[in-house]
Amino acid sequence: MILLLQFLSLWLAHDIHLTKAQVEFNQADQAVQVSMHIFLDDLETVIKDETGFVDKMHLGTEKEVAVGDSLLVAYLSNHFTVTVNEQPLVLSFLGKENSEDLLAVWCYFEFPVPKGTIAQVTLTNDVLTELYDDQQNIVSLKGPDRKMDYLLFKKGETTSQFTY
Amino acid sequence: MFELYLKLGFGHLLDINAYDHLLFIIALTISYRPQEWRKLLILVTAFTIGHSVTLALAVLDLIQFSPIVIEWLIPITILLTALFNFYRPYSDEEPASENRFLSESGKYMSALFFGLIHGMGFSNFLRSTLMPGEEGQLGWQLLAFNLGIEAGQLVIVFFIISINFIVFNLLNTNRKWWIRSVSLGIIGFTGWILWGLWQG
Repeated sequence: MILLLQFLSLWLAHDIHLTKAQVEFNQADQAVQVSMHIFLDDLETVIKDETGFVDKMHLGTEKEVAVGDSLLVAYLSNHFTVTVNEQPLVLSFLGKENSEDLLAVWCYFEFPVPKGTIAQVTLTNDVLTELYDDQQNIVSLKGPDRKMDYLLFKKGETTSQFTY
Repeated sequence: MFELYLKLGFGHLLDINAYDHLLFIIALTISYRPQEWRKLLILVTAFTIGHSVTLALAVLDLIQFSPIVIEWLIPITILLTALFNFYRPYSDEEPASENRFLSESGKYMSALFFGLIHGMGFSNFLRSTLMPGEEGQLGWQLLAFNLGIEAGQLVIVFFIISINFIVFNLLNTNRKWWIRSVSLGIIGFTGWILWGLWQG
């Protein structure tokens, strides 16, 4: 049954070049928490392109290669960055789980934030923008001021800055 | 949020990499002379009503359909519209046959009907942008996205009117030739889309 779903979903894979992410400044946890939805086939392609990893990674399946997560984390760290008060934060990977339709994976990660007032934040999101010219990355951001911002990142527009 | 979805709708229609909707609108409007822009707007409105209805119904989960079927149907709508231009290249001339489907009102009905199909295609994209927890905003997202699409449409229509102004009014090009050449080109591109779908 899973096999059938995977086959169908590969066939269904309409060329939607999109990632979407919910980003939240969590005061209690002192961290910027991210949930990001990325299509598995795009991840396979882009990680191989960047790392030269030759075999299929089978991300999100029982056949996933041992280095799968570390390759994924490396990619995310390079392409989704958060800077607070001009200090780059470090990505801490929390895990991932398949989307309902098995076409994508929700990646969960966070960036611990040092204590103190947050005056300036810079977000860079160039996930998959080198792979597809029409790649769009949607981000809903809940800032340190608890206000919501809705961002669209694409090739040539991969950075957003906020002052509080 | 409203601005984001406005941008998404606008960008979706004008996306050079996802040019099926673009091709359809060109096929639909290419036979109109600039002076007939009012007739043109009414025609585009028929298409708009069609796609707005199914976009909303689909996103609200009131209708269900197979995305693959829609993927194949959209190029078919482009083909039929482009072929229509061969049977009736002049928008102000009555067709040779008495066939009601080839009349002006026939064209409006097909624009409306094909709009229903394109709307389902749009909904596939819109649904893919939705995130958990935002369900209460769906109405706004839908409205903004739809408005973005209409704005994109207007840009294309304006572009076509301008091109036709140069081609017909300034350069005095043979209308039948121009309409048929563009339609042939569109059929070619659509064939390529269908080939891509077949290749999977």
